[in-house]
Amino acid sequence: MNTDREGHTAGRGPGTLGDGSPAGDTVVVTAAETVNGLGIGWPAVREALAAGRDALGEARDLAAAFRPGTVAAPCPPPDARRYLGTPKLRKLMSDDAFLATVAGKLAVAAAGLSRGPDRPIADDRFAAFVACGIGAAGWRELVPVFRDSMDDDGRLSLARLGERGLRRCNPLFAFQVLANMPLCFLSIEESLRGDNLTFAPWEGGGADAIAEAAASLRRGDADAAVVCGASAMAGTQGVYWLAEKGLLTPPQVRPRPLGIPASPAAGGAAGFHAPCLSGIGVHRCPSVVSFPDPPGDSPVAGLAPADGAAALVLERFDNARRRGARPLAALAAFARETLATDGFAPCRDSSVVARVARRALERAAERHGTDSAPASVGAVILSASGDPEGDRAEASGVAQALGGPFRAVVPASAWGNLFAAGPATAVAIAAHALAGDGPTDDGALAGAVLVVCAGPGGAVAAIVLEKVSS
Amino acid sequence: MRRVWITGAGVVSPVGNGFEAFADGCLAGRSGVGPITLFDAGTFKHRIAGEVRGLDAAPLLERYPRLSRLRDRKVLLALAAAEQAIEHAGLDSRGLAGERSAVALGAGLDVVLLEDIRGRTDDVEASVSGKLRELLGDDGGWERLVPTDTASRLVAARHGLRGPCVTNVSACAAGGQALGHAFRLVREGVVDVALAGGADSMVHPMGIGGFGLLGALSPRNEPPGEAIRPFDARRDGSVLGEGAAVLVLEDAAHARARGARPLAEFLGCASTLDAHAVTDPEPSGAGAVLAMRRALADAGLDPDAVDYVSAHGTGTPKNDAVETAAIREALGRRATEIPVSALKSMTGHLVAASGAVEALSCVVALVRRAVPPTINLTRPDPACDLDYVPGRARPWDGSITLSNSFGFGGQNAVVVIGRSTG
Repeated sequence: MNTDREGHTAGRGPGTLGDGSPAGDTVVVTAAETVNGLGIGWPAVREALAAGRDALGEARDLAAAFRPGTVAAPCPPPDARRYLGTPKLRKLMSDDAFLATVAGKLAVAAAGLSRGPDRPIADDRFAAFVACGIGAAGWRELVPVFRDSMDDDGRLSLARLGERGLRRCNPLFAFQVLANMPLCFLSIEESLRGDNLTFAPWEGGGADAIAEAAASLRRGDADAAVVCGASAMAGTQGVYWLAEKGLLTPPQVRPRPLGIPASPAAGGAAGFHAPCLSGIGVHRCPSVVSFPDPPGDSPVAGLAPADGAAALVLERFDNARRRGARPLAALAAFARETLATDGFAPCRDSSVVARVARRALERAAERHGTDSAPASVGAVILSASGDPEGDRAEASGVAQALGGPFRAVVPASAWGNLFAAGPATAVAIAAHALAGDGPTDDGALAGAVLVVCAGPGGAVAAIVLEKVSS
Repeated sequence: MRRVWITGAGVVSPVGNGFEAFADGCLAGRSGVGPITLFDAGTFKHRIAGEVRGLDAAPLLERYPRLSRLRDRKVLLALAAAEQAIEHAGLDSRGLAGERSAVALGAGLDVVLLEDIRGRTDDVEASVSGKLRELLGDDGGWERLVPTDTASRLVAARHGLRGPCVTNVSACAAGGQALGHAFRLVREGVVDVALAGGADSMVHPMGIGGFGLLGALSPRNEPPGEAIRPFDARRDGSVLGEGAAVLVLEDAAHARARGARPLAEFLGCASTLDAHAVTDPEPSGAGAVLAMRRALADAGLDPDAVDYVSAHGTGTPKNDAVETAAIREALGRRATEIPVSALKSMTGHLVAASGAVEALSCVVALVRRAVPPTINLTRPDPACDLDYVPGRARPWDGSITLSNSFGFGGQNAVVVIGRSTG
């Protein structure tokens, strides 16, 4: 069966084989890993979620000095010697490149596809699609450069920069600034030589990475693809930029997108609504958020910048089955639209969100030969970027698409805003939930999961994930 | 499968602004490299660049008021090229608005602004923090950090494009990849029209300084126009530049319906990875070979069909030799029968814009029936033994062109552009 790049079935017909498993050209997730302030790797993150922890704390680097009290979700740096094949590469890496490489390597290993002569996929058939954020270079490395570039009045002098300052710069500093380095380091570490694209810097880019990887697999341009999103905005540049744009919560104030608190003490569901989903514990979840009815708390405007990365391994189902891999979930459909503005607000038009969500659900339904949306959307993962009007439009649009209240998961309430890493992180949560690999033992989530990706730039994307019959 | 036409183009570059001026500049064989004027580089080791000159920003400021607050030249360049391309294609906002139109632009790196840094030399860290704190309280009317998606977002907002709004950051391969990505969006039916290309300006202190530290730049400052020498035995590095090119890629049926004529036809693309090192190309050129072969396969063509190659041709010792071997390997005997030239010899290295500007030079070749030269190639290198069209443009009547873009870090992008059969 042929499907187009975003999940349409060519002609009409069942999107599943007679045994209930997906058609061969269905793109499935065979591994999903996350690295963020809650832990390194899905098992650690899952454990933290189960324990009701969140990752919110204070911003790192110079941000703590120039904007004290900034609430952020920094990621404790992983040990390069443990997670990199060539640890010395770390000194060339920006923070997002390092996190991307760690997440990507964990995912490739979890899929059983680590580099080596026995890998069942040729290096040049292994693709990589990466989305990364902005401002992840280490400003502390520039301090010696600035020091030797100041004139007698304490002003940075270009003349002195040229004469002296640049000599104090790490000659390889440029590699920390180049935004394609997260992909390049991952490709070097795992010998990925196939199709590739690099996107930036917000949720729209993260969603595009997933969509283009799936399209590449459907075209037959690759046998497997790593999709990675990475962002390291909890430091100097990220905090400065977000503060300049007025996008942060006030100092000392924790984010509460859509009124959903992070802290268990503040009434959150296990400190995080993801357990409603990834915990499989939908039945045990004490408070399910429904929209358009608002939750009890009023939202707090602003976001908490985060460090983190997530990586997925995608394959066509026939390839996964051939090599005996167990898919976590199927990527059933994708849709997107952009409502760009000259500012940085997310899409504030609920009808756009509704249209995109509806389209994705219809495409998923087409794969099953039906006209309607999947009968059961077990949960929806929202971006909830901290813009109250945008967040309400996001939630309201989904409610319009689904025809009523729905079960929402808002990861940003617990680990801050991951921007370009958000979509891959959300898909990772959804995939594990559908596979029954959440923080509780209640079994796998039933039905489909709708992931909505929205953020600065005005892009809105919707991804439908479905359970894969074993 | 849909056919994809190139129905318009906009460009600002060191050799000319606007399609016709750019075409004239490409074929004139004159260098666009000169002393840096955009900042005082007097004490810098590298003091030359390929700058865009004669660009009238006033009309752009009227159309994009936010531009007056942005300190990021690549955004200005991108918007200039995009507006030209839209006009060149005979389109306007009414024709572009909606979900069936996309924008995909390659963009360069974040610019670290240095002008505002001020403080005590004995505690620079505290001074930097203090300055940042001060700037947050008084922005002075500037947006100091400009995210990489700014140009694509502003274009989409102004013209109401509601399809994919994509920012590609694949360094030197970004422009080529953005074109390839947009081509697939059109060919596969996601959209009918896409504005695609790349923009960059590395002509700022940390751009010139940072890339100079990598050892990637030629140390020759005099005479500026002779510094970058792709494929020459005396080549010793690249020269940075700035520019932008945006192409209008359009479903052929859509273009016909509105009476548009093609400049050329976009036929195929591919991207691969070296997975070797962030600093150097893979010595065998295997990734580049694979990208060329896959791009041709994507276009449904054999190597013998290729009539011209626009080389990546950076003027660095390693790239040019590896690329020569890769072209030979990918095209076989055909490699020695066709012209291969390096636009960077005239423009300098436009980094994220280079793939788009060089793809546009292929369109120029098809439209003007002449291939651009490689200038400054006066002493052949035995390791670079193809026909690089030294010195002067050459009449040419081919049909199929290949444009190579190989990025720092090992990303390889190749696009195939051919004469449109209408």
